[in-house]
Amino acid sequence: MRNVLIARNGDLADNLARIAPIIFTDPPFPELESYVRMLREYHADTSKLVRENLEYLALGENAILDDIRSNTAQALQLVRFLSIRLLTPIVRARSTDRLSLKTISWLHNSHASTRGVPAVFVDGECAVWPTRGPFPPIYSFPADEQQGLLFQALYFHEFGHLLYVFHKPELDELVRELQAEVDDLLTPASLRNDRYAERQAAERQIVVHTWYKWAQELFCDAVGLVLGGPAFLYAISSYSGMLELGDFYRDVGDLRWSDHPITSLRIQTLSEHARTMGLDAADRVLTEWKKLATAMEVPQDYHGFFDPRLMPAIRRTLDDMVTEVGPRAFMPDETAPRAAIAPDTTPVALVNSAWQRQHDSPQDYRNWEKNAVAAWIKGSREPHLTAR
Amino acid sequence: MNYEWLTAQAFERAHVIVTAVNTLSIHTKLLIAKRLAGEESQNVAEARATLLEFLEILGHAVENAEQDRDRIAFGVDPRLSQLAQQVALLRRQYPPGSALSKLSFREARALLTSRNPEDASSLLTFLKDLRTLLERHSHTDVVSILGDL
Repeated sequence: MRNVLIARNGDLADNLARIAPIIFTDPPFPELESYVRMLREYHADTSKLVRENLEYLALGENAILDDIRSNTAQALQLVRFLSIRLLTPIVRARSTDRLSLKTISWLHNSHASTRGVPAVFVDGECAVWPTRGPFPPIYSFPADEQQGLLFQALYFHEFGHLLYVFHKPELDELVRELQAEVDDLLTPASLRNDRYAERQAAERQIVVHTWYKWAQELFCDAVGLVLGGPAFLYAISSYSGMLELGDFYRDVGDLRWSDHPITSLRIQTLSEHARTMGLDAADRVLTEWKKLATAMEVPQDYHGFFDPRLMPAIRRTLDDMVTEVGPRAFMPDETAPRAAIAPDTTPVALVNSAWQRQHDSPQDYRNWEKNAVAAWIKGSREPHLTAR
Repeated sequence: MNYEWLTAQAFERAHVIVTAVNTLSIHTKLLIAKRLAGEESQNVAEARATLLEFLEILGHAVENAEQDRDRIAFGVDPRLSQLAQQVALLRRQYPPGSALSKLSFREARALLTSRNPEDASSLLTFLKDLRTLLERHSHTDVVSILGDL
């Protein structure tokens, strides 16, 4: 085993040496600087782990071989992760990335707990890997939507996942209380004590665990709304609505362990929240979804995963979660019509202007968006990292 | 929007904990082999702190699961909850095989902070069993994040 481990660590050292020139070159634009700085630390830490493995192997101490085997496995994962995920944002960087990077960076700096966390994203579906370290949080976003303004607000939802990680103990406690209410309401009052009891218990377990994920998604929606106001509601309604039955109804097999509540339920929850904030967007969005539901004659069946009687508990939990985390709330002037876009315009004002423009004069929108993006990105600093 | 957030967190958690296990295990074994003096590096102190914090969280999840009639851990992410259920299952086995079933979480935490050389052997067994559990459990997350051929 010793020789195998020496060879594998030698290979890892070679991999890291090959990767170094990519990381120690200036990033193509300043918005990637903090990410590249973090990558250099990650590279240094991984190189140190590999060096230590080789030093320990040189001791000839058999008792620690399995520990080094495990540490080599960890180093292997770190190098693979670097190659698969972490290098992509700089190897495939495009000038159009600057829009998303500026949005993410602004979000991170909008909250004390995430200030200074590097901004980075890759192509893909709307998602985030909300890690705290040693892995950096990485967002992914669809290639077309990255280039426009209308869906930038969806980053606000993903940012909610990152906030959750930084406030996990407090938020898990609130989710625990909600899960208990879900369990009380959705579990049959009398449990059978026969061969079906096991199946019943397994189903109960699935519902409760599914609600852990649903609660976090609903919290992220609430964060998006508090941060982005009407623009977030329009963005999520437009992006998530696929105009299919699945927006309103899912089979029980699809609900089990599902990641998100049924989309119409999310829109309903968000719209009711938006109404309490006095946002007209709520009625506009709800009306659209009701028309669709009527036209599609969708069944109202949640297969025991939701009951309208849960709504007050959900609303109360989400309010408590948002209060606990305290995301920056949008300001009234950020949703008011705006004459011009400047580099210091907030992303909140930017995306709200975009939706207003899209609603008021859709025929001019693309041209306006192109100029707005250029005006917002203009004025960023030049790169100043030094290559090694 | 997908739930990769849960997998990514579980992947990171396993990496941090397994690395801490290895650091403390290597340190303890080299002490026994008299290849190290008694002083403890910052890395080892951090590894102890990381493991103590993790055992606190895992212990809470296991107790939480053991109290529920269907062994559900409320307020715990599903991946950690599955790990807690595996520990709860080990603790119900007789005769106890894993150190995780022989020791209470309080005893395990005491072992982690002990500087008594007589505890070293029990500590190493506990660390080995904890690492085995974590490596088995995290394989799904590793494949999900890094892929498979």
